[in-house]
Amino acid sequence: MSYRPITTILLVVSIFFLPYWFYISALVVAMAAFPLYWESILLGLLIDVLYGERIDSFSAFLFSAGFLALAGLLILLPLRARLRSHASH
Amino acid sequence: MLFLLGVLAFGVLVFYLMNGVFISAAAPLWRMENGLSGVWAGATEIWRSRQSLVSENVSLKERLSSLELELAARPPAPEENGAWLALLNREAQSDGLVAGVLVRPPRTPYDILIIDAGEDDGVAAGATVALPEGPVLGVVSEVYGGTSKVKLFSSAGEETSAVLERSGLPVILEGSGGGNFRVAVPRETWVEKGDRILSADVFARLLAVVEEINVEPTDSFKEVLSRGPANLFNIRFVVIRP
Repeated sequence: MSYRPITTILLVVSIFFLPYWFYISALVVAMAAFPLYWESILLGLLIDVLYGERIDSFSAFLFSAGFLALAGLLILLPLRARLRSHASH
Repeated sequence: MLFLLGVLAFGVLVFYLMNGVFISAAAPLWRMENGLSGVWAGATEIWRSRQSLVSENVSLKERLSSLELELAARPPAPEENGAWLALLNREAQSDGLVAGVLVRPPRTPYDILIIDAGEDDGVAAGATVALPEGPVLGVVSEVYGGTSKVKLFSSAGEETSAVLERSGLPVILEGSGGGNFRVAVPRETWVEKGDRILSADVFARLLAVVEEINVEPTDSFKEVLSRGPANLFNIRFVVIRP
């Protein structure tokens, strides 16, 4: 049974009803736990759309939750690959 | 990498086009949650006699805090202020549209409120939002059918024109997030903890209260850290004034 869709649904619910320190922490954990967790980008955009203000400049977009999720994924990808190759040795 | 960029582009297109749809869809859930939390608190009170006393204590403290806030938000000389307003042909605004707060920090990571009044209720972008007791909180930034987003003056990077009450010095209040502000004033400016910072308009509404003053011996400016008068985590109702 895949926990990935369940986790995504739970994160969506937590974004609507729980404090930011919970769902952002859970999002980071999910990004580290699941391989190529691209859903985190959509969840970050959901946070921006629900709770952020209108983005009217490129610099504001760089600090949006969606873009930061993308950056986090790009940082985690090589880290996860190295951890996996280290564990396999 | 390309796949992730594609997801981002798709998400931006879909989510920002359907901005109002998500909030409109979530608004009934938030209203229901606010209602249920009140019912739950009332239903369980009968089983907790000591807890009910604690709850009553908390609500009385909130009421006391609200009254103190109302007192602090009063203009310094109401008769004189009223005369000035009459001279400028501006009446003191006492009415406005009351709206409930659906979402407040810490649910939102930004200093944004979502209220349950929107275009259908006559709310327009740019309207001032204040507490029922008087202090101003922010402005309406986005309006949807039945809801609106309010950007608080304490949002990170938000700059607001204000006046130090003690000296009458015009200052720029810079939001730091979490209901906090910072302002830089010349070193020789007389500022003390507890001083009020008022809005720069004719109504002189309370914006913040000085909490801390930082100055180094070599600095020509002092950093004044202030806090908004309201506890953002407990705001339940706001007043919208056009």
